[in-house]
Amino acid sequence: MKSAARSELFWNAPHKFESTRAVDPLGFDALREAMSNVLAPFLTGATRHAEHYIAVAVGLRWAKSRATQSVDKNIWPYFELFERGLLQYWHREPSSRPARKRYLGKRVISTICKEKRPNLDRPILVNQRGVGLLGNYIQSLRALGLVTPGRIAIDEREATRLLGEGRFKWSAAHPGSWEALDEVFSAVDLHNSWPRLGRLLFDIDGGSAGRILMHQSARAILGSPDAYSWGQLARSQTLLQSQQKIATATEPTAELEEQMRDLFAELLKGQNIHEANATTLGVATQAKRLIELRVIELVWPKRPALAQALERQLKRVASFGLSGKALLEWHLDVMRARATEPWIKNLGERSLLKLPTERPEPDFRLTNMQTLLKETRWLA
Amino acid sequence: MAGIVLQDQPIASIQRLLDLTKHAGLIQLEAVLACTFTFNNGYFDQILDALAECRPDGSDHLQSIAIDVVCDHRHYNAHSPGYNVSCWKGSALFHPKLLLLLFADRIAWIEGSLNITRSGYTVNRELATFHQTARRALPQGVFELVKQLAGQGVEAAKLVFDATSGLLQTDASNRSVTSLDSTLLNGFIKRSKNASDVYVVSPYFDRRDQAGPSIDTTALRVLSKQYPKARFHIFLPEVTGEDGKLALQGSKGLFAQVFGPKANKNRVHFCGVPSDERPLHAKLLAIRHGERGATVNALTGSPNLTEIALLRQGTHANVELAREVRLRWKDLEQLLRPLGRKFKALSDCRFEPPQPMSPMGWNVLRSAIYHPFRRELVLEWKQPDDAGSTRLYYAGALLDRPDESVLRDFGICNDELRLETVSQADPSRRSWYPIIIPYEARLALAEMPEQDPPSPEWWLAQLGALAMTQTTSGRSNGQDISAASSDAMKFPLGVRVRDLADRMGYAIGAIEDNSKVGAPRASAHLDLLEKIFEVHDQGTITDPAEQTWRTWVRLEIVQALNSVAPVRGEDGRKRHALKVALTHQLSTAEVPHVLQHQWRILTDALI
Repeated sequence: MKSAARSELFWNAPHKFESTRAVDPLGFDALREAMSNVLAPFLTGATRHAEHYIAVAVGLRWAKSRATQSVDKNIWPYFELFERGLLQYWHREPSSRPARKRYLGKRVISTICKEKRPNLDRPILVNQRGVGLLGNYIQSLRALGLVTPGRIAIDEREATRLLGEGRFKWSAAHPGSWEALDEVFSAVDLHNSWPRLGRLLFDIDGGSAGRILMHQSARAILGSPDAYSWGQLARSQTLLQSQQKIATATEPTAELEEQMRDLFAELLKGQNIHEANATTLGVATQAKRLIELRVIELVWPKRPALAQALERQLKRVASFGLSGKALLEWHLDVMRARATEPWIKNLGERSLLKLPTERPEPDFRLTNMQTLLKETRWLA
Repeated sequence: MAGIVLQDQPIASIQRLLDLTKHAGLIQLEAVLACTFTFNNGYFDQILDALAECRPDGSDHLQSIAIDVVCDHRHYNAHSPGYNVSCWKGSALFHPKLLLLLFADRIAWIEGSLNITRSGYTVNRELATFHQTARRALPQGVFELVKQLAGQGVEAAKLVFDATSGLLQTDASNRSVTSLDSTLLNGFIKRSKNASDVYVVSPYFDRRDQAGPSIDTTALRVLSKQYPKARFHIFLPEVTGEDGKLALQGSKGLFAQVFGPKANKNRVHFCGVPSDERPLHAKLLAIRHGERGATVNALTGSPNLTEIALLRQGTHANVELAREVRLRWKDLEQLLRPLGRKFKALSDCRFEPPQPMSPMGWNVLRSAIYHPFRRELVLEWKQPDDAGSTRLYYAGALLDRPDESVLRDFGICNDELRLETVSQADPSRRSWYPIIIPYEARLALAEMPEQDPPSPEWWLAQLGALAMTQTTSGRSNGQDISAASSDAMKFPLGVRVRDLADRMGYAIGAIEDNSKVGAPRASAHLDLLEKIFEVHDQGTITDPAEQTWRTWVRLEIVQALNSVAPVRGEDGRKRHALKVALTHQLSTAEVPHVLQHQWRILTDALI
């Protein structure tokens, strides 16, 4: 095709992107994740439901069986198709399962389900692989030994242990009608596999470091079924000593993060912060608490660059209190460790980036673990 | 390329490129080349994310094409995986601004005053030009810049250069020029012999830019002498000074030297453009011939009104890219209207001269190229002595023997793609430098080898591996729960054997892809097979089962190479040479005792 030559001269109009990238200018997201890895190492913030786990395992086993070569690049397109079909089925048959309503891409799925027939060609997410079911669960499945690290090909023997001998049968052809889609995807519902998933997640089988941590946390949670924070579980004798310390540190960490985010938001507007007010004093107190509990050392024994930066800044704030300069230095140190451009470089500068005003209360994967214990009916 | 259309409303230039990409199809995109003075990787990552969103598999497509940014070495800080950043290898200031997309059937690009930074695209007052043309033709200025970048080994520039063998015919109404092959002001003046009015838009000076002044006496004096009777209309940034009062950013002395201390308002006058919130960063020089209805010659783009930008060329000048356009006076008037109309005489203006910051960097590297298959970092120093006077850091750790040009057993750690150079004599002098990963290597590896030597399984697993990053070039927080748990199981031999057969099938498919896009990928997969063969040396281990497994892997690789169809050309020669070399190594290797008889039969059959 020949395109016509064209030139235009104009003033550039500002264009801001709706960023989908993680926003973590002070390093707290990374710290919370590292702490959660001590409390619930096999989970992530997105691994919530047994039904999702089982569906992903079924989909991966089926996709591998369909791929001409079982390499990831050939497996993925089949899983992509499977996920689209499954979500359309879940939308039509929500049952009473919360899992069937908790996924990304609901708006598109809802639109598709209003049409005359299923549509497996229409994308449901721009980055389905990264943020869809597979992206959310793959790390956990790898940690459980179902999938080789760094890959998406499922291990047949382990898959059979979890899902049983029965196979999900589908030719990958378009179902053609809603009834046909329902018939195909109703076979994904392997409710009887949920208890086996519980054993895989929480049994101490083999006794590796990750399994021991998961097992002890699960027992502690079952021992205090009404606990709504790790702080409440911190004195549980079931938890390992390192877990007790991290559980104790969850509340100071969440408070420290909240206070520092508020102060940083002021800095981003070009305003300085007042030293020695209640908030800055509170920040210093929480920082001292995290140092006493040796949080950084426990969660990052290999001390990556980000850990070194956070440790340095925590000590500084604990010793000298928080000022505008100290908060800016904290931000710059974290950005340096991440090889990322700082949001602001000088005090008084106004940032082009803003912190999101709302964010979920950090729970260090506790709710996910409680849900999975309940759904899989695991007993110590 | 005839004429240029003046748009009377501001346009988001990046949106223009995104709309065009949606229209042309992201799958048709073959390369992205960006040139900038200052560079902000965060904003560039967002541009790539937005491009990726043009297609459901957009991230995968972007990972399969060459994406290169070239910036000035003083302004490199960091970049993300998924593309390369190079620094201009000459000593001159690298100042052009260009964002170019090469599609299968066209080329589209943005030029102007905008650097690839958040400020450039979202805050500043910037003048931009957008161009689109059928491929195989670029205008002179862009062509020359691309050619020189291709000569410096910038992969995307090489692809654009190869795709555009001809020059685009231009006329005086829309000419692309660069200081690489011409003195910008001389040519412009030659084509603008008479003037009734001269318009100068001079940009905001950011002291951190280390770019020198935005306007200087020499260049202004040339204009003043050339147009002794013209009236000069000068637009300058207006900023709040340290005393809280508004002032024009510039030096009164400079204007007094050129126009005289008591310059008449009819000879020169000044308009302040508010620049505290939205800094003026556009650069424009326009010469008007006569009264209303007259035409205007304008020069806009990257150059400031300075001697080094406009009055020199080649290695003696800044690298600049500009556009000379002919407009109707009323169109220029419309273009300048947003800048304001309140002019004052020199004597009535309050000035605040910018305070330049002396450069404190330690820019001693010419290039740093990482070869993942060899795990070698190849350094090229600007001067032979530089290595000895430099401390070289990677990921916070001091590297041994920076005087050597090749650092062996080098691994990329946590996606860190930069080196830090620090002067031994004055540790306050330090700079960042990008590590380049050859484009071909990216086509075969879903991730880079980490610091410790990767296991043979890691290399094998790269065949057909899928990048699982959340965004095109997303940086992880180092949170990998599978690594944290260390609970990954060892898969039994039966699984490994089936897996190996699948991977070899995939490798054969990749090597046999002889399409234009497939050729570099095929070559990269040959390199990967060679690497897998090398690391599966059965002589380095004692476990008989593992020895058998490695022997098996090597045999499969040679069988795979034997099964691919022969082709002509460089790819065919590389494929054949590798097959011969590996077959020879295989037939002469020590094999586990239990396999010796069967082994002999097999290798005899292969030779």
